[in-house]
Parts: sequence; structure tokens; C-alpha cells
Amino acid sequence: MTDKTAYLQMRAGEFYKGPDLYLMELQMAAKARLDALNAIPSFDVAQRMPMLEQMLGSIGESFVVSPVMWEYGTHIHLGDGVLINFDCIFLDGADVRIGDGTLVAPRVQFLTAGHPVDAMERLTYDVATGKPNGGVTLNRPITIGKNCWIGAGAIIMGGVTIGDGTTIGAGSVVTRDIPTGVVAAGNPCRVLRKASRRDEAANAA
Amino acid sequence: MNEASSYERMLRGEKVFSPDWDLIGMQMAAQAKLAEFNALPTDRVEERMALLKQMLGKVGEGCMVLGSMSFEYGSHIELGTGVLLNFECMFLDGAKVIIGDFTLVAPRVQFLTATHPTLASERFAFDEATGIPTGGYTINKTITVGSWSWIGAGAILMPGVTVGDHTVIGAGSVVTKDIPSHVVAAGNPCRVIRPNA
Repeated sequence: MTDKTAYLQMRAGEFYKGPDLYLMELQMAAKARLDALNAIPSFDVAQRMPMLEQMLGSIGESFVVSPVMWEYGTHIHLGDGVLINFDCIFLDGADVRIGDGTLVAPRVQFLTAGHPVDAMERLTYDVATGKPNGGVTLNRPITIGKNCWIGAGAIIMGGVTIGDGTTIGAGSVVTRDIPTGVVAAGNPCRVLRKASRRDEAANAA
Repeated sequence: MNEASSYERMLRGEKVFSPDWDLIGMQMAAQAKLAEFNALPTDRVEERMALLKQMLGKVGEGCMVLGSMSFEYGSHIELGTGVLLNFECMFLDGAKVIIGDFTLVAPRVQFLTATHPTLASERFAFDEATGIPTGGYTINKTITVGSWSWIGAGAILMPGVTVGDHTVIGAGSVVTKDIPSHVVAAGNPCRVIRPNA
């Protein structure tokens, strides 16, 4: 019998131990499918769409540019009219949900995985020898609203929610929630201003 | 000729002119093996480990490289016991990159030992007759990461930096100066935020 304890803990947002055979099995199966997807030109939608529908948790009428990388795929949910530009990475032990009409620029990373910062807690030890034999991970979901634009190279950390209509500047490291309808940027990512046209015009004046 | 080779000078951290055909030859050989490694599916664990041991300067027991990685030489990278490199880490390893035991490296971390003079007139070499640039200069400085540390995703470690033991570097940090042991540090430039004890 396959031991799914770690998988269930991961999905419940609890700490789990790695390496875990079942999780590795899932990741390797996902990687084999990813290799096949990434070998097909991005514009060959007819061939890729059925594959994406199988690999992802859900996908509307959206467009994913290769290369793309994820651990499981099955925990990624894309709405309609989402664009994932090339070279994005998803550590998707927890759900990554991206709303309708959201644009994800190249090399954005969605990282649901986190670890304890104390190495004594981060690693697991063999009881008999005291030698480290693995580590613990905890995954928290990432939710991106509708009509957002996530700038190139941005890093979105586990547990973060970004509101509708918000723009995240290139290279931002988003460590906390970002509200609806703003422009936010930086490391750590902070709100710079509202995203409305009227405010933009006022700022330009 | 008793003159030190460009490779020797590079490893000593001295200024090296490029393009240098000896160095390019070494890089091309390394790239060929690396392409072979990166093309191997993750589940071909033993083959990948055997190649990794051929390519890198040192690979401790229980090391794991997930997905692909990239480097210039490979032979200057030294991994301790139980080091994990997640997806797509990048090493400009003209100098050594030493990573201690049980250190965790998240996706897309960059270890950049290479640097250049900031003045273009010093960064480039010029043809004396025509004044046209013919190449440039690079200096490589060793990067050292201690044991039991965790380097967050997308962090960039600059030439010559040392990160201590039991230290956590936040995602997306740009580490321009040494970071001590037992701290959590983050940001651009990377600064100590709090003790990690």
C-alpha cells in the first residue's frame, strides 16, 4: 500500500517529512508529462490544450507558454484568459489559483512551499544515528485575483493573496497580501499607488 | 614559458582577459556534460548522480539536484553532505562555490563569482591601432555558504560573499556582503533582519 500520509498533510497545510516516496512518484510523473508538453511549440494549442487539461487542476481558455515548470500541476487552477509567459515556476504543493484575465510575465515564481527557519526544526534526524535523513516542508495556497498583471521575475510566497486588478512590479518579492486595484512593487513588495487611470493621470501631472 | 595560465590566474582571483580559448574550451566541455545531465529525467537517479559526481568538484552523500541546473565549469562547485539544489540554480563558478552540509537551495538561486571593473575603459581591452574593443576583463571571487542554511528562491549571491551556518536568506535577496551565522537576512541589498535561534 502506498503511504499517502505526507500527501494528505501537505494538502492540509501541515508540516510533512521529505523525501517522501509517494510525493516523489507524483512529481516524477508530472515531470515526464511536463517534458512532453515543453517539447511541443507553445502555439500548437490544439495539441497542448488537452494535455494541459489533464495536467492542471483546472484551466479555462488560457494560454501557457513553454518552458514551464511545476511540481504537481494538479494543484494549479487557471481561469479564462490567463496568460502564463515563459519560464514560470510553480511549487504547487498547495493550490495556486489565478483569476480570469490575469497576465503573468516571464520567470514569475509561485512558491507555496516553506520550511522552518531553524535548521534543527527544518531537518529530520535518524533516531538511532542522529544523522539528518530529510527535512520538513509546509505549503500554503497562493491566490491571484482577476485582471492582475504580475511583472517579470516576481516571486510570490506561500499564503499570499493578491486582489483583483492589481499590478505587481517586475522583480518584486511578495511576502504579504496585496489588496485589490493597486500597483505594488519592491522587495518586500509594498503598495505604491492605486491602479486607476484617473490616479495615474493625476500622478503624471 | 613560465607565465601562469589564464586558468591558474582565474583561480587565484586575478584579472583574466576574455575571450580566452583555453577557458572557453573547458566551458564547452562542461556544457556538453551538463546538457546530458539536464536532459536526463529526474527519475534516472543513479545516472544523474554518477554524472553529477563527474561534473562537480565535490558531491557529498545524499545530495539532490531537482530538475536542471547551469554552471560554467562545474568542477569548482563543492557540495557538502545532504545538500538540496532545487530547480534551475545557476553558478558562474570561475572561482569556487562551496556549500556546506544540509544546506537547502531553493529554485533559481544564482551564485555569481564573476565580476568586472565598473569603468568601461578598464572593463574592456582595446586594439591599440584601431581603438576598437577586443575583449574584456573578469575577476572571480569564491562564494562560501555554511552548513544548515537555507537560501531562498531567486536569491543572488555576489562574488566573494560568505553566508554563515544556520542562516536563512530570504527569497529574491541580493547578497552583496557577508552574512553571519544564525540570522535571518533578506532584501536588496540583503540585510540581517533578526537572529535565527
